[in-house]
Amino acid sequence: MEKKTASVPAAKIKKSDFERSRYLTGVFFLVPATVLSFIFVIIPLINVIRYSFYEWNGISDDMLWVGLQNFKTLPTTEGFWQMCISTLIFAFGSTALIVLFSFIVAMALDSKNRNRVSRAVYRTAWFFPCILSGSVVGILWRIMYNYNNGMINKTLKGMGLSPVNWLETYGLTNVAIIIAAVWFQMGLCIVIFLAGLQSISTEINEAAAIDGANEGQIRRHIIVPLMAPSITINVLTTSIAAFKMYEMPWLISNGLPGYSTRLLTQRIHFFGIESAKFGLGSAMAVLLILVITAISLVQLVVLRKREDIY
Amino acid sequence: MKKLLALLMAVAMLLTMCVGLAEEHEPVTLQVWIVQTDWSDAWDNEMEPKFEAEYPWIDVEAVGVGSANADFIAAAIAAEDTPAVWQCDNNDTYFNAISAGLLADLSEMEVAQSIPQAYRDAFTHDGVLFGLTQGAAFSVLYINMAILEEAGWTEAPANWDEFIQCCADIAEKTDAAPLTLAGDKTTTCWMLYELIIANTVGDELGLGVFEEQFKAGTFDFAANPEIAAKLEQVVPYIMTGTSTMTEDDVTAAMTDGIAAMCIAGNWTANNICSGIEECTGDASKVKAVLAPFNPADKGVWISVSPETAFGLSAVEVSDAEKEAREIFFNWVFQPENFAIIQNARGTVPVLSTMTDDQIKVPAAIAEIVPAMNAANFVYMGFNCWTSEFKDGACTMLKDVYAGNMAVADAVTGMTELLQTYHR
Repeated sequence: MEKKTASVPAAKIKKSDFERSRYLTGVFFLVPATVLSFIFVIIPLINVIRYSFYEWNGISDDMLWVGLQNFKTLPTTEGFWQMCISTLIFAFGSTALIVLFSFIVAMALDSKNRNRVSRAVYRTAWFFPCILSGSVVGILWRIMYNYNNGMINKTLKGMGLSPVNWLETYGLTNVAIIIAAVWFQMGLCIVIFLAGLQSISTEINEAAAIDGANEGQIRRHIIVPLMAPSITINVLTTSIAAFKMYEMPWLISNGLPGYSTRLLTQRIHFFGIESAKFGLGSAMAVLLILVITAISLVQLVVLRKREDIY
Repeated sequence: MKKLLALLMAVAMLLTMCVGLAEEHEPVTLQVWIVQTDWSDAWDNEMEPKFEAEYPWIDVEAVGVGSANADFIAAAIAAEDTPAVWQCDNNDTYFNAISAGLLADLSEMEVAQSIPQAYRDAFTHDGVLFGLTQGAAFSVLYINMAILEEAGWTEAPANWDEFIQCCADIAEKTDAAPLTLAGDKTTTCWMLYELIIANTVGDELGLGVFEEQFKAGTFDFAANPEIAAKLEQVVPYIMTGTSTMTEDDVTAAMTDGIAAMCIAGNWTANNICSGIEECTGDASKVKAVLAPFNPADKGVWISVSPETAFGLSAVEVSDAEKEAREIFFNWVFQPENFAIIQNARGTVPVLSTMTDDQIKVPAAIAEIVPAMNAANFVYMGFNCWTSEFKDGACTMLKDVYAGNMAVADAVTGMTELLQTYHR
């Protein structure tokens, strides 16, 4: 009987009404997102790639085909290499610190010793910055970093210490924008880590404890390896977000001092909007897309390998 | 007879209705961009109700685009969603809009004749008069005289040497920083430097030559070493944090009394003057002067600019809308209406049809208007530069103000930058 069923060609198997309706429901739910992605992501992406081969001011009907000229011009533009370096410093610095600190905070928040109310309050407090817009966070930190009236320097002065020139000192301003980014983006990473931590069965920890493992050994040899998928997700999403970050660092430092905190995204905006050089701006956008894709792929391969080890 | 009377009455009624209909206007909605936020309240509370009461069939929809409007405008142009009445600046975005036929030539409009020729020239590109300015802007040195008195100065400095000595005395004898400016805003960041340039080489070059060379990319900032020397002299007296300060931060610094003097535009006079008054508790301690960067034996040079201008859309629309646009545009430039904008901004009027009783400027500014009118001037940087030069040069200047870059390097860098990026 079973053999007979198996020999029926797959094409001839008739889908049940239930399967068909389930399939259609799936399609139905996919359509809005697909259409929106097509309109707001795919078409603009294709256009950006197309514009990168033209000289165009974004307004006129005249578009001059220049081939790869925009890509050749980019490295010769004012401050290009400094901006590449500052983008890498910001992306890697903020990603490393966000993932590290959010992991530590998630471990602390996962503690079973606290009561439910205090746990909820702490989790909300850590997640709160995530619900703010980047502009609000940027303005907030800019005010706090103000040399003369900022809260941070007033506190330092109150403690008898010298004020710090956060926004005019090379190197320190990079730290300043990374601190703000960490505060801004930790919330989401903490949520992902908390979900990962809560999915770890308590029996594993208990078994390790019975076998004589102390708290530190449990964390290092059990929790961290089991959290590898969450770490992969957080590293990937955070680094992509950091490369794409625009408004928050701009509002804090305005790219100063020099070009030391000027990011490539800000230069895309400068070329495309302020200078009305859509071709050059698009070429830089294409370059950034390629860089993000390459770095994300490398991260994915390396982190997946690490997941496989565990 | 009755039938004839009834017929005549019916005809008369029909004719009356037709005449009435002919006088009725098709309702029109006009979109207007408003750049500066400091007169948007005056717009909402006074101008819009006044205009719509006079022209009930025209509904004016004002859109506040803010002074950092490049994104908004570029996006609107790309989407072909431009307004009936624009507010324009003198830069590439608008030059591109003119080339694309989006802005009308205003030279034949009657109200254009009420704007002085120099201001019309400033908003003429490729022979198209694309904007009528809403006022005149000029650079001012605002002074907290209470701090100067503490430093031993009962009068404002009158020339460069006195100014530097005054800065030195303030630094030595008071807790306040001698000088600040809004480094975050390119116009004011550049203002200090352009004033030094104008007062150093202005007399030698003559009116308009610096701007010509600036636009052509031939001006050599390093050619006259006195320019760099003067900048080097003043840098130590600039307040820490200045390179990142906004105009609001400058007002706060003057209100808190942590800076004695600031270089700013006359458009911030209301805020800064009331800030100094709040700080000292004495209106007589508020002083505004033309920045005394001149040598002792020469007259002062200032920097000026026409303010943001009103422009008119050239996009083809119905006759009714076209008529409504022109009605609105002409209405704005009638002196009694224009005074509302002018007085809300506190800037110096340029409309020749305005009378003295219609003009209200802050007291400190009113005192220096005659001197301003008599002074030699250069146009503010944004009238001459490209966005690449603006970005690169102001980045260098901010580094100089912050003490991160040597003046000589910045001056040389600016010359090279100008040779590459000029109009």
